[in-house]
Amino acid sequence: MTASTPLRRARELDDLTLARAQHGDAAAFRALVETYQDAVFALVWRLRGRHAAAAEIEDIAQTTFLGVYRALPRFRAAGPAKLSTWILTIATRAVLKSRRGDREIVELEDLPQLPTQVARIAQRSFADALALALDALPAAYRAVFVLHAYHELDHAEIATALEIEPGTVKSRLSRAREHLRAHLKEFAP
Amino acid sequence: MTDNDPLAPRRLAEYDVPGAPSGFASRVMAAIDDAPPLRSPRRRWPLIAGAVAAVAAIAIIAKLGLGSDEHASGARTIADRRETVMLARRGVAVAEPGTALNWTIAGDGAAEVEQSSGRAFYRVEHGGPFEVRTPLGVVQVTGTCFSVEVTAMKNPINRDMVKGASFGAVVATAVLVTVYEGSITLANPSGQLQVAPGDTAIVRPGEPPRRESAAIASSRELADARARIVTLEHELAAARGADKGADIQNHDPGRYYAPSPETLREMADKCWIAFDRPPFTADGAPELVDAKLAIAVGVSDAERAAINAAYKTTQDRELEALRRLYMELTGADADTTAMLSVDALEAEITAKSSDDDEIAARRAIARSRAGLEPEPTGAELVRRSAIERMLRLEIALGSEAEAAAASVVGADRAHELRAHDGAAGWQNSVSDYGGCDESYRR
Repeated sequence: MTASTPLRRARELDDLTLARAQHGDAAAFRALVETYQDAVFALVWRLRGRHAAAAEIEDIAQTTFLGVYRALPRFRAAGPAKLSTWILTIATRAVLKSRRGDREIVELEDLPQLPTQVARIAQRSFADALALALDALPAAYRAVFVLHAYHELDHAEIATALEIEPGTVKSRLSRAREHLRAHLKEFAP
Repeated sequence: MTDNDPLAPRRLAEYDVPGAPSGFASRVMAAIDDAPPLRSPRRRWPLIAGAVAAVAAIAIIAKLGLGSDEHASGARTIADRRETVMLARRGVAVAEPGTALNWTIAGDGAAEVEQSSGRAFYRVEHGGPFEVRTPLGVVQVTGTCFSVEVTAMKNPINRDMVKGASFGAVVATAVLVTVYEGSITLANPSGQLQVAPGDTAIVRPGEPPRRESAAIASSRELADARARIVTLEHELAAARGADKGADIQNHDPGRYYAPSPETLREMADKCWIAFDRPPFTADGAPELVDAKLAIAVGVSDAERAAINAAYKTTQDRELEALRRLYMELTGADADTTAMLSVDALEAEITAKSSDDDEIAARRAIARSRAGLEPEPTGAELVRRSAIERMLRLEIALGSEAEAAAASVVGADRAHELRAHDGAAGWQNSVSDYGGCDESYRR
């Protein structure tokens, strides 16, 4: 199965089902999982990279939904965050937590040259090259880019998700784009 | 960005990834079966701008004797602010300004409400027929949440007209009924319509009811309704224990930020606590003073930014204290704890605390606030229950926020920010609950 909505927000659960899920209705919570599972898997795959094992991705996704389950009674539907954004926030944190060693911020200048595989893969497919270029980004930059480009979170939402300043989001996003464009220039006719 | 840009959406979409595998939701549900049960939302529900409504509701309940089998009736016209009206043992209506309600609850529970104008949101308990009569039709329900809006009503309801052929001549342009839970039937002499959750029905003079487009029940309205459902459930729960608390809801204007000695003594007698709730969040920067409040109080942009920054320092300190409490109580590690929202932390601490501990905490806090026993020293406090320490932290936050603001704009203006224009406290958000009897929950 492939993620069917890679470039737009997940549809939102209706408010009544959400209210029921918040009150412990199992069927409603299942509906919540089914509504957001593809978005969560898409996010987790892109943050962990396509080299990750499927079992690891599922573990993180399951951790995400268990976290959602525990915190759901406190989610404020009338608050500023959409449910999808809130769930993606939990998923992002679950990914970052799962790879603690990657959590330190590595400045792009400090990165070694991208693996030469990028150039080689460029002869195969754009998707593979993009995946590799994304994988080569530091986790903090990749999270900003993926949340923005694939899940349409705005700067403020990403700032909240990653607990960083909006200005930092903007600068990381800009630099992530520069990095990706530089390493995908073979694909820009 | 052009289509040639490798980062154009069309190009990015080429990097596709797998979606959820088959059976994933079932595996999540199985894992949840091994997890602790969900708690209902906070018992200390923040009643945003609702303190007055709660006072009115409980006073009415006490007067009507909720839960009795007696015949009850009442009438209410809502003037200038939203009010919660208890319909004896059959439910609650949250009525907007301009709403006129008359109701009769028979001894067998059958309820008849006349709504001749305005807009009201109803939460109905099971227990017999329940009808809301409007100028253009009758809403028949059995146990549900719905709202009724009567637009452009100029004359009081005429019961004969509702039942008779001249029904359509009543001066009301439309009646809108939106259902949030359960189902209702909207009927008039021209026809009837079953209305399901999420649907809005409309009836106009001389026409049968018909289903309106879903746009009427906007997501914003549904979100608002969801919050109201939960709030009403709490108010109903509070009403059932009103004999324990009805007299505690006094009219002290400073009840939530500077309660009088009399208020504090009353609260001590009932193991009661009431306090305002400034923003408290693990996500991003809390906005203690928003732009609108700043303008109203004459706080400059620079002062506002400084206040919010000062408050962030304060709330972050308390957030760390709350997280430590959570870890102490649950054994969770720091990373897991850091993932949880403030509400989740509070809910878990409450869930893992016994009723006895919570009551003892309220008793101790209410008595020390009233000066009936000394405040615990730091050494004593660490031996108190987690729920007591959490409640003390929550209660203190309002004054700490005021102190943070005072460090920027002085004490007088800080206090004005907290209680501007008659607000119950920071952002008009409060908790107000208690009771020394363990059977009483709010």
